[in-house]
Amino acid sequence: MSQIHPNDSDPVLNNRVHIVNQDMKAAAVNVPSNVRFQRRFQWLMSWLLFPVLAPVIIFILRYIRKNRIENHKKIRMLFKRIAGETKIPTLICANHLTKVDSIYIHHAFASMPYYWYHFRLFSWNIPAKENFWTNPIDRVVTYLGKCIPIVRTGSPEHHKEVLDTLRYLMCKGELCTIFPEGGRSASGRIEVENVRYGVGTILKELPNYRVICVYMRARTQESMTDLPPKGDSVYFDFKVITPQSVAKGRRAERDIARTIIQKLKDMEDTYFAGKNN
Amino acid sequence: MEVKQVKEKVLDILKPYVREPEDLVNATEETDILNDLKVNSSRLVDIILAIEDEFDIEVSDDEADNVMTVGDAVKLITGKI
Repeated sequence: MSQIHPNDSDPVLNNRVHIVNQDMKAAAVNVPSNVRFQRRFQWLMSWLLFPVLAPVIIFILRYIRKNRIENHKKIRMLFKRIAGETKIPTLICANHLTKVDSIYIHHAFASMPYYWYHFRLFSWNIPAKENFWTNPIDRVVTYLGKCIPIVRTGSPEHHKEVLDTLRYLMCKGELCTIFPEGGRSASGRIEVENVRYGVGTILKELPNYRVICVYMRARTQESMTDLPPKGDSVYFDFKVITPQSVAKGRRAERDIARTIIQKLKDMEDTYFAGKNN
Repeated sequence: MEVKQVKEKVLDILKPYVREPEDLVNATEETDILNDLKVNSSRLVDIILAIEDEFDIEVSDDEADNVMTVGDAVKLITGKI
């Protein structure tokens, strides 16, 4: 269990730290032991085979697709500072335009060796089973890419199990990625009204958390595609926020999800304002 | 409040979330909110919250999960007001 460490000189802060750590434990125990074992095993397999799989994917991305992340060094430096310094539960929320966005996010944030030594920062994500579970190769790659498939049309129990699992992993200090729009944006722009509240469901149960909002877009990308345009440079921006709500239950989920999607929308507006000037 | 009035209010609540507004004209209590009215599943939460506000009731997660049709929503509301 990832724990926040007390400050020896401040008893009030110590008490708060104790409460947060207790709440984190409570948030984590909802997940059945067989699911925990499955994810631990998946983590181990992913880590063991990472040096084999990752170079192939990076090679394709850099030398076959020829995509380049803008300000790459600066992004990696900032990410190391932000994500590497503490194990506070962290969720990456991004806009969604291509089927491989999560791979580009991994690539943007850190190098292969850095992930190898800090594998918790190689984020889990939840691709739609109907898109990524169609053939054995996809199954293996997504499994080793720390993916937990979700059936979009699945039962509320299935969705709850997946979201509980993500929350559990976040409590363990693992990073997770989620696309609040649920799927790729058909209009090519963030569709605020299409936000799914699952992101709020995950976060509202946590006593302490942060969200890394990522806005990413290939420069000539007009609408959703399977892959970013070949040879394009990729604009990449991220901001850290802690969305909160004074409401309870579903209303809190909605408030949190809306805050995140609005932040992404603001980041998109910034991108287009810069592009048009 | 009569069942008919409740149903009318439910249809009013559904209006902004329905893809084709004409589908609401012929809606009956058997009309499926997701399949017949083609409401986006992620908007069901908004609909439940709107129902809570309109009728001043509280709907639990389990109750919300059981709302599939217009009739389910009407039945849930009339059972609480």
